[in-house]
Amino acid sequence: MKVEVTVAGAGPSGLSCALALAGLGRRVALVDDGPAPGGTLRVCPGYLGPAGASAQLLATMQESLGPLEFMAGETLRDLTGGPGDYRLQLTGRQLETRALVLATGLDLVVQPADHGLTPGYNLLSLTALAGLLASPAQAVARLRGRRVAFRLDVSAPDSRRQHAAALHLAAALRRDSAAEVFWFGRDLKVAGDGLDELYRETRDLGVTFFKDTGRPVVATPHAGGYQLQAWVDELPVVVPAELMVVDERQTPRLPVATGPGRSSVRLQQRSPRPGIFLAGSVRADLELAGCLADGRAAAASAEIFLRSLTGEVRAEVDAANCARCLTCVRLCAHQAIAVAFSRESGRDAAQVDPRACRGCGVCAAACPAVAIKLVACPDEEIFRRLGVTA
Amino acid sequence: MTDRGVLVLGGGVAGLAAALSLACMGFEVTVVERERALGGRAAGYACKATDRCLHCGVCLVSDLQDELASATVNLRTGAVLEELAGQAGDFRATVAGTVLKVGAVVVATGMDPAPATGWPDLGYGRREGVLTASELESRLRREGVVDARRVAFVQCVGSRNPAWGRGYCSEVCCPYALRLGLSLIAQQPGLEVTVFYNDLQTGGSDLAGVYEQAGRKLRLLQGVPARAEAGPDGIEVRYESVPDAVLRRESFDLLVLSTGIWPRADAAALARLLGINLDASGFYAARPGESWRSSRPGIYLAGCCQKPRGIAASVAHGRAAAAAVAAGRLEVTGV
Repeated sequence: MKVEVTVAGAGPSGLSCALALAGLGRRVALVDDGPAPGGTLRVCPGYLGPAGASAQLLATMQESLGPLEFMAGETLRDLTGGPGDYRLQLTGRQLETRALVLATGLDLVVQPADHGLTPGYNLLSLTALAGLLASPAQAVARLRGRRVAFRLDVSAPDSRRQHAAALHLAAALRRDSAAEVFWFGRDLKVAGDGLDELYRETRDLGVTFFKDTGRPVVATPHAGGYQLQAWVDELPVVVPAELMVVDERQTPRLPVATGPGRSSVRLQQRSPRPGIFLAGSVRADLELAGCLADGRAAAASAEIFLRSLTGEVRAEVDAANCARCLTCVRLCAHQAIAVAFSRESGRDAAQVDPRACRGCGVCAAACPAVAIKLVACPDEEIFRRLGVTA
Repeated sequence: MTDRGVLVLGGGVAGLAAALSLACMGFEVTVVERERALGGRAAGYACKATDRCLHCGVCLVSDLQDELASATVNLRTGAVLEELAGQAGDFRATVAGTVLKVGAVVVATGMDPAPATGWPDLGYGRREGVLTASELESRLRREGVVDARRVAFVQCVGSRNPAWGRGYCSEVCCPYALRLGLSLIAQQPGLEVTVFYNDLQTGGSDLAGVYEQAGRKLRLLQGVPARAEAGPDGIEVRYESVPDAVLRRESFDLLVLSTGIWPRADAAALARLLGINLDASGFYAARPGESWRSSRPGIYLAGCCQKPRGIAASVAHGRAAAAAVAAGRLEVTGV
């Protein structure tokens, strides 16, 4: 199957990206390893914001998906080909695609050992709690009036995304289950859409916040639950809890076969490999609003890349006239030209790799032998674009 | 060519990112910038790299300016939008007396830093040695070194207090202060840098390594001082040390105020002119889940005019607005 862009990952970033590209008239394949689009929005509705708002956002986005090709239960196995002409091997099928957007998100793994604890039924990860709160009303009832302690900044110190999730979940627990909620962490991460407001709201709902200033908080098993010891004004404060909610180790889920590393894409959606883009939490530690904007930004970058391929404008060498002066080879910014044996003229001549050529025309302009011209770009077309008449 | 024309208000990083993306997608873009130069506030910052890159994003400004050199974008510097008539797909915008026909408007007018004079107890404008973080940076650029040994940053000046109508975190001041502190120490190793903070906003992978370095090289103190006075040995700061709840006094040579991001003073006036809404904090209100879309069809938002954003996030938001404009145009014309 042939498409223009493949978006891998149908979470909020991938959906946002695919929607924008489809809106631009591109033929898009949206690939996800889950059975339906939504990612975290679908699996853990309360994780990225209030559950109701997440469900509504997902419904709105799904409605606009329209004729977009969604491929469920597929993972990326291999990638071959080059920019503008990639071939993707998925679990069940093959895709030919010009560009690829990786919106594959994070792998989250709960590690009780990081907290000095062993796994137990009353030790939950943030995602597990979100899943529990999304389940039928009995689960919410079971949490009614319980003492719950959130412990952050241990497995994933400074994760803005997990801090935001903890605030949303703490507020929901307090509001829906009237649980007694305690929060332990290094610093409150309130940089994000409405998070400082949410923190004050959570505090006003009666969540108690403890920060590890100087001495770290210690959690130990105690009487079938846990006991957390914090320090306030140099005095030890002991908080018993029946349920502990802990943060998770997070690693970007980057399919190795695709090539792009992570370090160089901290600031932008472009990856080091032309035609491959990154969007959302696979690239940076973003909360929901940030992911949605990042998906759109990746869509803009991908659209620009596709446009650079479309015009079937390519440089073409008249091998018989080529002087083999290497001017074009030196000038080509896309490494698209090399001198090689030309069968048609029976001698060495410059040759253009059509896959790498972007049709910029620098070689054609500079060729001293006037042996290069741009095909599919007649002078009339250039004049029209410039708005002048010959 | 109305439907292919887009007006971008503001030539800062968000506006330039939007304009360049749109130009690459075949739109006729006009950037209107109040100042004579492009680049906005981000262009006034220097790279904060120490012995390694701190991912401040300042280099994105020159990247955008390089891209601009090879793109077809109409630039109207030293001009402002005077009037906007019409509707989505068919706006008539008056700029410096001439009328432009455009299909969409991207608002990327940026922000104002919180006025440091609003906190007289911290002594800004009254005492030698009290200055804002960006003033410290420009002084560094002028003089090369700071004539001080003890430097203290005060975070959250003008942020995170609903009583000032600013019930939000400005997001950029913590990373900025940590990076500036680290680059100060890298240049003047004898310097002692203290940061008074409420909650350090060091989330985000662009900060990987910064927090860890800051923890080793800077003195990070939780609790923000409310008063600074002239003392026998420089500027005397009184603060409550949070871990042990003790009131302390300490003197510094320089007191640096990390002023937050406020909506522009003329945001309300421009909102009226454009017919768009403001949110509770005075930024341009966006539609839920679509931070790049204003309350009025055909008018899009990019960067700090919608909420506080750093350089990289503003560039991404500019591109997001561009994608929305391009997709929206296809809907309007039914292509």
